[in-house]
Amino acid sequence: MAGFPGMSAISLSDLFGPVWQPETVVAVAQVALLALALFAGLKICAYIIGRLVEKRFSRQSMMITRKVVTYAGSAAIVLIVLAQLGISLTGLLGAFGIAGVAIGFASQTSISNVISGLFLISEKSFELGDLIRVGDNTGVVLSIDLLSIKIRTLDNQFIRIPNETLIKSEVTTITRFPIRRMNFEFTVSYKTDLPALKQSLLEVVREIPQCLDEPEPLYVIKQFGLRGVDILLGVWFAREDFVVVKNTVHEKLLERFERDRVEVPVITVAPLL
Amino acid sequence: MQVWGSYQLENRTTYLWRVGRLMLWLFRDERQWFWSSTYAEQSVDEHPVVAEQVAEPADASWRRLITRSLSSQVVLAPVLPDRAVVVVPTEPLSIAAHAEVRLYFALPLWVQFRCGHALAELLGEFGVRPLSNTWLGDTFSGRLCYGLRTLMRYEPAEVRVCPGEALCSLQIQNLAEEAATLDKLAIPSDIMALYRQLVSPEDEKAYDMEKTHEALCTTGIQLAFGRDRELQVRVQPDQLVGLAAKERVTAPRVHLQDSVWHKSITLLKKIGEY
Repeated sequence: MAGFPGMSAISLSDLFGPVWQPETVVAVAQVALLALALFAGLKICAYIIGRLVEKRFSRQSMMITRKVVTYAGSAAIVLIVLAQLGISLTGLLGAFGIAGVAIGFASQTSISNVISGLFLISEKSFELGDLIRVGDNTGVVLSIDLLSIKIRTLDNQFIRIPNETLIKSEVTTITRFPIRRMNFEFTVSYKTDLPALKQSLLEVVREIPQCLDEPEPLYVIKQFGLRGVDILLGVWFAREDFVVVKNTVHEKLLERFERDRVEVPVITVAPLL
Repeated sequence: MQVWGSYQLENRTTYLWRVGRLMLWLFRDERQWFWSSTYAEQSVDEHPVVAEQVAEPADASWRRLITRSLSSQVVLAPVLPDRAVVVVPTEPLSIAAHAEVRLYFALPLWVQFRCGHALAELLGEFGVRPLSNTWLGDTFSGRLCYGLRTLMRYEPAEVRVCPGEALCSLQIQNLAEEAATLDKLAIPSDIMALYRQLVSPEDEKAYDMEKTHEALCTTGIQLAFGRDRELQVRVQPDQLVGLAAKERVTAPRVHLQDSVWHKSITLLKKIGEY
């Protein structure tokens, strides 16, 4: 076999031969099997603990617990495997420390997200399944993770929002409380019989089963505007009836205005999703 | 006319029931059951329409169920509303100190339709009239109930109980040193049962039973304003207040032993014992 001048030839078996000795192969296989068993056990443990937590607490607590158990368990398994392979943990941890400083500098944003995530989890501003609004995005919370939360928007888009953004932004949890109020704001002509209008509006609301009797609907004469008298009608409803109430109240109001010949220069509605 | 009971429906024929404001059409085609419901503007009150053969309604939206086996029988059973009903007296009601009174009012029922083998298939439950929603609690927490404004009467015979309604009795006791006001009361209809009312001959005359229908009544409700003005509501299984029952027609939706309310009370009692 030709070689470089001055160098003796070294075969692959010279390099790796001792490693692939039967005892070594058996040891590695044993460690691999151990790792597999430990990971399987960890999965089962995480599942059982998650189910127990879900029964006693919420789905969100289950998800967080499952992740904590999985991450902590995986780290422990890696350390066990390394110890089994005879790799010195002291030296490795020292190396990790040095690497940690370097990685720390490089991943400030991620760490900020992690810390923000911890604050978010402890604050419990929203939970899995809640409908939230962050900036221009409104959606149902799919998962709350250490780095980000994931939401599904009402038009079925998947959005990842970094936790740091959430901490810095105004977050509205639309489904936090079981009932909500929808405000219908409109202007009526100065010629309108206001007491009769009030009776008529409250009658309209009473006729719609999804509008709550209690808390009572709110009727406010807001101000004398440029176009006429500004009126606010606040209707309480169970949060799941949002669409029905929004559509039905609009329909019935228009019908009533037409029936009673109420002149309405402008109609607007708030809140919008 | 009696609404509740069992009916045999001919194949490929549309039938109509009207109870209160509810209009319900049923159509059977072998094992397929089609049904459609709506609320009429006017209530039929004392004159319900029962299994009347009609032409297929023009703009009805049908729902459909295919049963396991062929059966032409359908059963209409009365059931109490599926949520608590918050009853608000139309006239503000005050009860003098140390006074006790029994009041009666009519509670709208739900019509339950069952068909199929051993009548195991539930076609649906429909309120005889749409009840408005109301919230019991504050805006942060509470529960969704039905709302009902009613005139509470002093005598059961004074209450106009239509088919599709049941007579509900309420016993109020004021143990406080001052008059107590009853603004509203949540009737736990999910833990109450329905009974066929036993009516005395005198009352039968007052009810005009022949003309109307067989009267139904509910489990009684006992209400006590304590000395510290704290309100206690008690509903005991099969205990009627001021009324007598022939037999139980419908069991409570939730058995008292299983209800969260009962469990909470039991737990508190247990804690109190230690």
